Amino acid sequence: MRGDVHRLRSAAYRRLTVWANVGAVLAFTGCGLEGPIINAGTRDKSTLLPDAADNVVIGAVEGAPDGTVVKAYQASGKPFGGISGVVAGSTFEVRFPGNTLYTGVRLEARWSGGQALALVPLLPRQKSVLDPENLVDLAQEAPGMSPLSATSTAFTLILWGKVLSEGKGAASLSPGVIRQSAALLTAQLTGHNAEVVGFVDMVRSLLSGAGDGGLYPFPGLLEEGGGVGDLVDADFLAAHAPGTDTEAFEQALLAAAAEVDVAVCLAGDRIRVVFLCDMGPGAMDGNCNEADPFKWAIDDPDKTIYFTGGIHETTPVCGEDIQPPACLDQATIDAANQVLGNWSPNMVKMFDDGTRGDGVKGDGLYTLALELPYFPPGSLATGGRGVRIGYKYSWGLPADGWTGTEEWPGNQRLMELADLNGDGMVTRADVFGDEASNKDKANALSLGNGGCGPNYWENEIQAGCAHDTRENRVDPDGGCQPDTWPQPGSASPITVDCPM
Amino acid sequence: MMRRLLALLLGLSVAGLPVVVSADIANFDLAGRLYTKWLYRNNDSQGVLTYGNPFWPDDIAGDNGVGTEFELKIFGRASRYVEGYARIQSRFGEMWQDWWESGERKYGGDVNTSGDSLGLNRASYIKLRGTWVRAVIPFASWWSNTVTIGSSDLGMFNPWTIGKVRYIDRDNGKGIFIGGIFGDGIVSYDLAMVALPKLYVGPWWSTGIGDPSLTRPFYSQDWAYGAKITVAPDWGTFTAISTLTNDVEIDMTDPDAVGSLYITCQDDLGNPIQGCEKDHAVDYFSRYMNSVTTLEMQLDPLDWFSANALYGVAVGRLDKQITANGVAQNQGVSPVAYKDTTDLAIRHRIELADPLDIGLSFQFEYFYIGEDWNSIFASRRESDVLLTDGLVEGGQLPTLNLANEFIDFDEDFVESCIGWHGNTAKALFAWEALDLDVEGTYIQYNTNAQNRDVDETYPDFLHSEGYTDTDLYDYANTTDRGRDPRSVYRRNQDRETVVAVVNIRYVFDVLEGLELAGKGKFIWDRDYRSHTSVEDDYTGQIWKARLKMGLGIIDGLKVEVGGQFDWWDEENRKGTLEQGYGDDRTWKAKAFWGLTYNYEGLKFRYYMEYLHKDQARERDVDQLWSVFRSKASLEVNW
Repeated sequence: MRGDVHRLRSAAYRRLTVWANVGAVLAFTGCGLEGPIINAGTRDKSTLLPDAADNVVIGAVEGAPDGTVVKAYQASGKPFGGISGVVAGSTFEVRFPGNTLYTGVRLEARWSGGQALALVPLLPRQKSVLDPENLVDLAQEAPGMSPLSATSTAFTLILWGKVLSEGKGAASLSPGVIRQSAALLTAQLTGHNAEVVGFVDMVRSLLSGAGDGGLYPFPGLLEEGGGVGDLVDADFLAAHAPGTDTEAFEQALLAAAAEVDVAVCLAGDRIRVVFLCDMGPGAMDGNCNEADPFKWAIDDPDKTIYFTGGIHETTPVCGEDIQPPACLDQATIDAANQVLGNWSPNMVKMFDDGTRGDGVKGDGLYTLALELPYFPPGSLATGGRGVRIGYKYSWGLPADGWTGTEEWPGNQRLMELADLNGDGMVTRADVFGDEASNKDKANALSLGNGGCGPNYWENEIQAGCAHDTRENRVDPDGGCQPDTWPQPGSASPITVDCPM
Repeated sequence: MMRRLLALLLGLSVAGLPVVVSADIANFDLAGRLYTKWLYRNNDSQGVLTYGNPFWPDDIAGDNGVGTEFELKIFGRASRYVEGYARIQSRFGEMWQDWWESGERKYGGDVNTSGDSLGLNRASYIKLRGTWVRAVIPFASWWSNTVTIGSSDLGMFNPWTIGKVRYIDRDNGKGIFIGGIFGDGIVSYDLAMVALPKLYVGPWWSTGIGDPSLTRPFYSQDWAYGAKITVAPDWGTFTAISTLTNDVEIDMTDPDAVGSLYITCQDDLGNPIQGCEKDHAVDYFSRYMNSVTTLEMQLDPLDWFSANALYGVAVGRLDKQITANGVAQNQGVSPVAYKDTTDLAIRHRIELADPLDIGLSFQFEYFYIGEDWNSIFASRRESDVLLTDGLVEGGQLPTLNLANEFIDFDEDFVESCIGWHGNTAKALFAWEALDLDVEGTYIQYNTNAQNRDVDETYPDFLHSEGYTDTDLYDYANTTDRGRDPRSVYRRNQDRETVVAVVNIRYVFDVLEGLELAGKGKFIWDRDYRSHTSVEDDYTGQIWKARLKMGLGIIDGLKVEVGGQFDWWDEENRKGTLEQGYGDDRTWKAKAFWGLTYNYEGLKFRYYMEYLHKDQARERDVDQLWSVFRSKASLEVNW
C-alpha cells in the first residue's frame, strides 16, 4: 500500500478531488439524502382541516312519548339514510351534515296513537369548517311548524298538496315560501279562516286514530306520480274514518291551500343538473345487459367515482349571429368548464355518502349536483341547440390520471340540458362503463335497440337511429324499458324570489 | 461522395473508440454451491421449511419434503482497486416430487398435475440475489477508503442499532457503504445509507404498505442512515454508532399528490384552503422514525481483565395521522408501541480470564434496557446482546421485530429483552479436556406495571402467558404453546426471574474423539400480575436437563446421540383475572441422534428426534404430542 501511495502521490490531490465529487454525487443522488433535504426546504403549508360541523334541528313533538323516532325525508320525497332523531322529554334533535344545503326537509314522527309532520324550510351549508355546530330551532325557523303537531301536519299537507296540484314537486318549495306560508296559515288559523280551520280539524280528527291496526293517516313516502289524494291513506280512512274519503280529504286540503299563494319561481338562466352514476352490482347497460364497470378501469378498494367534462363545442356561443338568451358567452363557458372539471380526470368527486345531493348513503348510486348555465333548447336561431355537455366518469383516486380509471378511452358522453319532466332540474342517470347509452362515437347500442354507431344530438337525428343525449328515464323494475324519471337525490331546483 | 462520407464517419468512429481494458480469466472467480434439504415429520403437512411466514401465506412451508437449491457467486476484478460481485441462486422450495413445474400458475391457485399450477416458488427459478461494486481508494498512506455500492449484510454496525441481517437475507440489504481507516487502524469509520425493506421496518411490519391509514403507501424514498466511528488504541476500543430509519409518506393534504384530500385546494365546504397551492411538487412526512445510538467501550488493561460498557438511547417518532394503530387494530400484534418513545439501555460487562491461572474464568454482566426501548432495524435473529442463556436458547435482542420465522425445528428461537434489568454471573472452568460453566442470572423487568394500556398503546402480542415451548411452536397459538417471545408488555405485571445454567463438556480420547456434553437449566419465574388479587400470581419452575454424546468414528464421520428432559411446573399459568387461572404441568422428553459426514468437499448431516410432550392443564383438557421428525442436508461447495 505504501508503495502504491508513493506512486500515486502526484495524483493524490486530483484523485481526492475526484472522489470528493463522487462522494458528493453519491450522497445526493439515489442514496436517500436529497429527498429529505429538498422536502424540508420546499414543503407546502397545506394543513389537515376538519369536516364541517353538523346542522342540528331541534324541536318538540306534541304528545309523543320518549323514544319516538323522528324520521327525515328529502324534499324529493326519499328518506334520508341514517338521519333521524329520537324524542326525549318531548323534544328531539336531528343531525344533518353541515356540508350540504337542504331545503324543504320533511320531518315525521310516528307513535302508537299519533303522527306528526313538519317542514324545515332551510338547513344552510356551514360557512366554515371551523364553525361549531349550527343549531336550527324549528320554533324560530318556522313558527307554524313547531312543535310537530296536528297543526304543523296540516300546514305541511297544505303546502305539499298545493305544489302537487300545480304539477310540481315538493322540492320546488323554496325556504321563503315555506316560512311565509307557515306564518300566513298560522295567522289564518288564529283568525278562524273557515277552510284552514276546517282542514286542521279534519287532520286532528284523523290523527286521533293514528297507529290503530298499524295504520297511519298520512304516508311517509309518496309514490311516483302520486297526487293530492294520495297524501292520505285510503285504507286508514276506510278503517278509521268511514265518513271521509280521499276526495273529501283532497277537497278540504285544496280549499285550505287556496288561502295561500305558493309561488315557485325558478332561476331562468341557471339550472340544477344532477348526475347519477350507478356502480352497484347488476347495473344494466343500454342494451339491458349487465354492465362491466371494469372493462377499462382497474378496481381498487380506495377508489371512488369522479366526473369530468366541459361545455361541448356545439353549444351555441354568443356572437354576432346568435344573441342571448339562447347562447352562452365565453366567460360563462369558462366558469362552467371549471365546475365540470374541464376534462381533468379524477378532480370532481361524486358522492355516495348521503351528502351534497346524494340521496341514499352507500347504495352504489353516486351523485353530483351542479349549478350550470341554462337556456331551453329549441331556439330557431341555434338550430334547436341548447347547452351541451361532454363528460365522462372515472373510477380513481384523487388527482389520478386517465389510465386505469376512465370508463373507456377516447369517447365522451353527451348531454343537452333540457328539463323534460318539468321538475326544474335536469337529472341524468348513467351506469358506469355503459357504452350503449350516450357515448358519442363508438356507441355499443345494438342494432336491435336502434344503435347506429355514433350517438346523435337531438337536432341531428338520423332516421332509424336511436339517440340519447338528454335527461333520461330509468328502469327500476328491470323490464328493459326505461319508464321512470330518476329521483335526483336530495338536490332541489334553483329557486329565486318571485317578482312582486 | 457518399463513399467518402461513409469512410470519414468510419474513421471518426474508430478514432473515437475508448481504450478497451480487456478482461481475462485471472480477473474472474466463480464459486458454486449445491444444497439439498430433507424434512420429515409424522404429520400431514408438505413443504421444506418448518416455520414459514406467519402472516403472508407461503407455499414452501411444511414438515415433509425435499428440495435443492443452487447458487453461483461471480467475483470480478476490474483493476487492483475495483472489483464486482454478483450472486445468482435458485429459489428454494421446489420439492423433488414437483418434477416438471414450469413456474406458471394458470389455475388460480388450484393445484393440479399439470406443470403449470404451482408458480415460480416451486420451479427453482434462478434470480439475481445480490450485487456489489467495491472500490478501494488509498488517499494517503494514513487514510484509505472502501466504497461499496450494492448488497451488504449490514454487519458493520451492531445488534442494537442496524443489526446484521439474518442469513437468508444476507444479500437483500442494498445501499451505499463507505468504510475508512486512518492510521494503522486506530481510527476507522463506516457510513451507510440503506434502502429500507418495504417489509418489516416500521409499524404494521412495513414502511407503509398494508397500513390501513394509508391509501397510497410510498416506500421508494425510505432509507436508513448509519454512522460508526471506532477508535482502537492498544488498550481498548471505543465505538460510537448512530443510526436513523426514516419511513416517509406522501403529505395527503398536498394538492399535487395523487389521492390528496384537497386536490382542488378546497375544504369540506368548498372554501379555499389557505396555504394550499398546486406547484406540481409533492411533499412528504415521516410516518415513522427510529434513531438508535450506542457508545461502546472495550477496555483491555490487563491480559486477564477486560471491561466492556455499552450505553444506548433509542428514540421512536410515530405520526399517528398517517399510522394506524397496530395495537388496537391488530389484536395487540405490533412491532412498535403506538406512541413516541425514548429510552435508554446500559450494559456493563467484566471478564476475568483465568486470573488465578488455574483455568477458572469469570464473567459478570449488568444490563438495563428501558421499557420504551425499541430498535426497529436491530438484529432479528442469529445474534445475542446479553451474556445470559435467557429463557430461550437462541439469544436476546432489544427489539420487538424478532424473526422466529423461516427456520426449521432444529434452529433456536430468539426472545426480546426489552425491559430487562438484571445481572448475570458466570464461572467458566477449563481443565485439559473438560469445559464447565455455571451461570446465574437475576432479571427484574422495567416493563412491570399495573393497568398498562395494552389496548391502544403497548403491544402484548395477544398470547403472553406461560413458558414458551419453542420445540412445538405455532404462530397462531392453536396448541397452547406459551407466550410469544416478543410479548414483553402485559396489562398487569410484577415479575422477576432467576435463571441458573450449568454446562459441562468432556472429550475422551476414543477413536476420533468422544464428546460428552450435558446441560442443566432451571428457571424460576414469578409474576404477581395484578396487585388487586393473589389469585392470579404466577410461579413457573422450569427444569431442563440434556445429555449428548458425540463420537468421531473416522476422519469426517461423527455420530451423536442424546436426550433431553423438561419439567415445567407452572402455577396460575393461564387465564384471566375475571375467570381465574389454572395450574398446568408439562413434561417433555426428547431423544435424538444424528450423523455428520464430511468427504472431499461434501457435507452431509442427518438429525432425528423423538419428542414426547404431556401437558396437564387444570382448566382445560390435557394435551399429548408424540412427534418423530428429522432433517438432513447435503451441501457441496466448489
